[in-house]
Amino acid sequence: MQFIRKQFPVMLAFVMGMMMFIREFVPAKFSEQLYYGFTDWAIVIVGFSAVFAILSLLHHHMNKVRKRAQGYGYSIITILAFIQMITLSLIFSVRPGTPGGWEYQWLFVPMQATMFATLAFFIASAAFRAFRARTWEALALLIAGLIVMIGRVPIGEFISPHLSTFADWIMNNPSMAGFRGIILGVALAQIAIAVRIIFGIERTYMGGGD
Amino acid sequence: MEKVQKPSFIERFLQLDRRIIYTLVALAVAIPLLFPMGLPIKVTPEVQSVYDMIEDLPEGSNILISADFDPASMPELYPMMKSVMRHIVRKHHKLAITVLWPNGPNLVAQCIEELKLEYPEWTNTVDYVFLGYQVGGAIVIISVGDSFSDTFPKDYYGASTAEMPIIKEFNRLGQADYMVMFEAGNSGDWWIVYGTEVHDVPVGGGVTAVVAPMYYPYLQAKQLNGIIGGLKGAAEYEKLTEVPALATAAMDSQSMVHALIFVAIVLANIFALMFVGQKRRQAREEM
Repeated sequence: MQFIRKQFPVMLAFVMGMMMFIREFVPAKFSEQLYYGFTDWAIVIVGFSAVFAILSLLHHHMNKVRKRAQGYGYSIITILAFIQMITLSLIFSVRPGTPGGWEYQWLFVPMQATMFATLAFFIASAAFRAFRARTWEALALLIAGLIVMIGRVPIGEFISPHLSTFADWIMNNPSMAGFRGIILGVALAQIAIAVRIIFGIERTYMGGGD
Repeated sequence: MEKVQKPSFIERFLQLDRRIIYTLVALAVAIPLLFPMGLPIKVTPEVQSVYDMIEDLPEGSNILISADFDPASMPELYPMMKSVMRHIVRKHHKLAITVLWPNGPNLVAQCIEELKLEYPEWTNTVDYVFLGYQVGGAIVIISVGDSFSDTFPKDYYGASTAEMPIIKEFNRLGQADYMVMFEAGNSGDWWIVYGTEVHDVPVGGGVTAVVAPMYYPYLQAKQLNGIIGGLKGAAEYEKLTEVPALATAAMDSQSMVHALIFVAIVLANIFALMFVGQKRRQAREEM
């Protein structure tokens, strides 16, 4: 049992990881078939993970209801909404014109849009209170932010064409350079993590506990 | 009894009730919608590049669209997607549409229905195929490099894809002459890394304003040929296709809200500086 729980996943990760890595350097038909065969497997496995996610969600909210934890009323709404949506979807699908489609179009879309529309109000209030130039670095950020904010909408062009030119320059140079650094950093970290998983150094993906 | 000092005008301004700010924002959105100002919309080179690519492709070229967003990003991405799809229909290109976000397919279905009212001759399975959603994210992108019909055995409407006329000519990512991805997150990274770069397919991005900076490195590296960024980008595309719609209508509102936040930040900073000066003066006087 210990072997299945501890050693086997590490061995499996090593074999599969090395196989997919070596495959990259084998320009043969069978290598391509292997690659696409494994992606089909992966889609099925990810599909199953969605089932686990659903079970985990229900388990969490049912526990809250059972224990009468704070805010358990919301959990009841979540469970009821889930059950009725999945029932309607399985019977009628969620395409436009079905009851599930109706709920999507007239409940889900407006609710999600409303949630994000309220951001405009919160951002305006937060910007007024918190966006202060307390240091020189904060001042530089503030000026850049203000130029991009006004230069990227038509009123900026209306005030002065130079505003939009300068806003574009900020986006294409300092902002782009910062994001390039982030992207490269993330890519290098992904490579490091992949190597650690393949060689069994990183084992947190197997979960905690004994 | 100690005399309670009344807060100065500066202090009162800095502690402005948030409900006043909310009201100003609501007015800045509503008034331009009711009374449009018609502010000029300048087309940026990034948007022009996407338009030119679709415009210059020979009639009947294969184009792939990936609509990777949900209703939260609908106000920004839906108008640009509709505008780009209208352009594709007008140019008689073949279109395949995929979705990587589970809450996205119905938005695409709605867009198709609206376009079919404008172009009734636009035929499902012949001129376009809506492949729907498939679970897997990056894995789906790798998989469509091999075959659309294997990755999406059935389309959104439940029809088998393998026998569709359009799939006979356009059944994998490598057969696309161009791709436009509409992104509210980082699925666009996956498309570039696992899809378009591997199969050498030119790609343009329609992205929300929030994630647009994330895609500029790809634009400079020519891994993206253009970016339609946020509602402004959508309005620019509407201008290019000469069909002003939702995005164009919202431009004045967006401008006004941006201007309001701009003024609020500048005033708050000026008053904060004045407040610091006032405190220093008071401290000096008390010494």
